[in-house]
Amino acid sequence: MVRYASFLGCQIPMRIPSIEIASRKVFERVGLEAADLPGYSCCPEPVISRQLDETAWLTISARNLSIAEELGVNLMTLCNGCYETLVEANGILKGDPEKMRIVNEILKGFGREYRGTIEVKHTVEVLYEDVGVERIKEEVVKPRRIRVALHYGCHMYREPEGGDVMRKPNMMRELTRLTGVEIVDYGLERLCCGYPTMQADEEFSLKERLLPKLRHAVEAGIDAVVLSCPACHIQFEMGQVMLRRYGINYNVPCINLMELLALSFGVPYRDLHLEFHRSPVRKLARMMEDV
Amino acid sequence: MSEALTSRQRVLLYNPERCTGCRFCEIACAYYHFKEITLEKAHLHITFNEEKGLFEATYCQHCDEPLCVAACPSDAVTKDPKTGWVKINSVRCIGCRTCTFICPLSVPWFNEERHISMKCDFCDGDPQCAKVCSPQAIRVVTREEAWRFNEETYLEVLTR
Repeated sequence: MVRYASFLGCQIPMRIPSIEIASRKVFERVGLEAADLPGYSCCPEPVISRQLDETAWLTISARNLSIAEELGVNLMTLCNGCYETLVEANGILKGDPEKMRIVNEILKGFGREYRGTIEVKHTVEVLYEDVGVERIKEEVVKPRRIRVALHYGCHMYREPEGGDVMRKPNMMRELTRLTGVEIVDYGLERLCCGYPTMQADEEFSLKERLLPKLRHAVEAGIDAVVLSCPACHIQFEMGQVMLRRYGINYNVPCINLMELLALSFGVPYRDLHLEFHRSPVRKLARMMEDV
Repeated sequence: MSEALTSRQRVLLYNPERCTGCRFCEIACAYYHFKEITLEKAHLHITFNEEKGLFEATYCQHCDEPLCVAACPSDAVTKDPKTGWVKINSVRCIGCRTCTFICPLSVPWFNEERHISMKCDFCDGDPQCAKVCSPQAIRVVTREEAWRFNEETYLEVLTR
């Protein structure tokens, strides 16, 4: 059995818990043992908190990594932002003994230590590489015949220097395809959802980033957007609500890859508590039951 | 700078084929220099053409023979002979904006609060824009590599 520690981050348990529910059901079905991380904290956020105080950023990351290390398992993240932080911090700590020493000096005060013995992976990597496409295919008992647009999310492209930045997005594409959906190319897959610029310029974020994506995807005739990152998910769902202030009306269902996988595995949509979404995902799930 | 030093100079290189337009580079730049979450105070800018689906960036090339250095009437803009980075001395700058007008890319921008011109200072050797760029659209490379990339990417298009 494949064993990992599942790092949920902040957004999933607090704002879109249906992703957590779906992920637990998916992991169980494909034989992926996902241990909880008792006492984990925010990853923390990969850009501003890193700039604010890199040592604090590294220390908080190292603390989270040390919890998985104590359990004796590698760590996987459901959120792209958590992936960026934890994979980057892990790489820095492993490659810089002086930074590792400083961080452990601080962690000692909290009775913890990080030795740098674990790896960090994105959940799409774990499902694709460790579980395997064939194993997942076995579980797809209800292929979903809908047309979807994909949004990978910027942090998913993070690779070591010179690595293939499309490696993980291609895995996500492949995993989505397994659920039976038709992936529609709308031309702006790579464009950011606008979440990072929301704090700096809300109107720009909504009109120059989210809106072009929605417009192109809807024109391509999709039923839903499939996402992996909860931050992008919030931007897509809340962004559609906020765009109404500007007289722009979109109501596209936005579904997480884990939820789509769970539905294709035949998990009843009522068990996923899709009511936490701010877009008509429940309606989409009901519609899929009939197709 | 000698030719050998020039080719080894560390510069920023932008690959539009990899950019997602997240503008984290701008946010990180402005936060690093001003501790503010804003796009307006960034030393580089990303633009996106929705119709053509194309990205482009405006950022300092830290030129071999910088026009901003030549044109500055108060000798506030200097090029470091060792690193090759072009910087504005904020104490010497008189805010005349000549550097902005002379720069082929209009990279230096006028800070209305401080009444001086500002530009990329290469973050003293550790550019934050490159650090936070997940798809590695902005990277720190040698000028030689940047020349090669830009020739392949742009010259071919221009001479077509």
